[in-house]
Amino acid sequence: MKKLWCKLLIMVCCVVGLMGVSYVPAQAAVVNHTLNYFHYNTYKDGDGRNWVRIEMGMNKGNLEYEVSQNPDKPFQLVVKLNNTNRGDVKKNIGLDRKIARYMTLKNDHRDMVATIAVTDNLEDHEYKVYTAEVDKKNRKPYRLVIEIAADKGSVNKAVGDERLDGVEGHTVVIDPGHGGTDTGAIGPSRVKEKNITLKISQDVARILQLNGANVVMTRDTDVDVYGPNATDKQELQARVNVARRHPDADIFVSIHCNAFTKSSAHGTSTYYYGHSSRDSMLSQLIQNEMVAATGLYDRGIHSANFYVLRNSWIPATLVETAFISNPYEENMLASADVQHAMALAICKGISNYFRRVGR
Amino acid sequence: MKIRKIIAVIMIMVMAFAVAGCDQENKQPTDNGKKTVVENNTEKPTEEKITVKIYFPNSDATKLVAVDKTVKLAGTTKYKAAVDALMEGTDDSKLATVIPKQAKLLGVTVNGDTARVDFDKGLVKHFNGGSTGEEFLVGSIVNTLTEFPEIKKVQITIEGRNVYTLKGHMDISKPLGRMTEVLK
Repeated sequence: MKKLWCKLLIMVCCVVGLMGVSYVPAQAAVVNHTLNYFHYNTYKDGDGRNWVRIEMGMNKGNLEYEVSQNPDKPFQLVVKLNNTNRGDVKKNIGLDRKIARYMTLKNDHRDMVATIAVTDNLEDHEYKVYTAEVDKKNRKPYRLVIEIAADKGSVNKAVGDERLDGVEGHTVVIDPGHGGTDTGAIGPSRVKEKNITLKISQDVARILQLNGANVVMTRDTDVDVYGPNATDKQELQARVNVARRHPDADIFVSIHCNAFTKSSAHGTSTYYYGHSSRDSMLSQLIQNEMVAATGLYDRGIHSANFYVLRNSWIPATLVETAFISNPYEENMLASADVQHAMALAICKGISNYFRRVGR
Repeated sequence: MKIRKIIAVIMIMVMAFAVAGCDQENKQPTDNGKKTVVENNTEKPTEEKITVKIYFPNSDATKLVAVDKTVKLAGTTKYKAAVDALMEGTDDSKLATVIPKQAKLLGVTVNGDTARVDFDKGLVKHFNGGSTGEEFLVGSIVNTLTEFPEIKKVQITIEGRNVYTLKGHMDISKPLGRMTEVLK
């Protein structure tokens, strides 16, 4: 009897031990995904570009995956699905052949590797990989979606009149005049320059970015760039330094509202220091678009010994959009439509500048 | 007694030098105290009047306009008298007064060909700014003073200190020459 007891005890211990051993890794592998759906289609996007969309459905959500490119195999996009089994989906799947030729699925230990052979060097394709939740309406399970475009396309996402040529890839520093403890000029109806310059500048930044430009803002909120109540030198130098910190910056554009002691002064003017002919060229091209867009009096471009312009290492301009001290123009400056028209005009001027000077 | 006489002579000399030092126009202070006093009497008669050319922007701020003004030289230099006249402003509706009424002129000193015009903080505090506002405020002072042939440059200071800008635009940290671009 004793021997039997001993054997039973050993057996129980072994079973418990085995269970323990097998139980631990099961917990580490959170979810085991199994493919149960596959679909691909091609479509055209808003810009008329062709895409192929590959959808791999599975039984569970929360998939972890890694996207990689093998530099030795530039015609392949590799996506590793962690803790995934190929299930009933075929090993080799033919695709549209125009963008992607075929896809292979290979189990690699616990994971599955999907390799997609594309028609051109992957560098010339734009692609995105994302997961999609269960789509009950279209009877689609939780999926990993891979989309590949026929080409890189333009990074230019702007549409309509906001679409500009020549700014793509350029870096523009936008300096919204004043801010924080410095209100700038104040209009007869108490409109503050710092708020108008920020609104116009943010719109300029948005439009330029849509067109593929890199934008650096000296400030993007109602703050002093250096710090509250700094000396004017510290504050203005801080704005200049923003541009100096970006060696790839091409131009510096400061946006202001003008003011004068008499409310009769009116119109648009643009200032430059004149380190080179590019300063006046940039100023004139922005001034032309501003006057055309707003219909305001053309005060012309002026060379002036302004701190931010003189200390800039790159072509720099300061746009005095309109007179905040003039009641009519103050009203215009406070209007969102006018702010947008001015922002677009500044962007067009910048676009014309880059088209003229080239890369 | 001898020592007292020496002290008295030294004191007279010191006072004479002090008077000479106050006189901004006197560029060649001499060792002769008596002579300086005589010069002061001739240069600063209490009721002498001179005509100065001062500059105001037109009301649309497109250019500076020269205005002749007769000013009294009562206990002051012609330079200060000219800036005082500028600060008084103009009643002409076609012209604009640019220096804020609340600003105080603390002094005008001349060193070589450079005039230093010192204002209190009221100039900055009560000035609304704007590129055009700044250009014409600075331009009216600089061009009024450079009307005197011996003045070639003007430095604007606030309570004795050099400042970089009035309201964030024009760099006025260094003496400025005549601003011809705002005279057109």
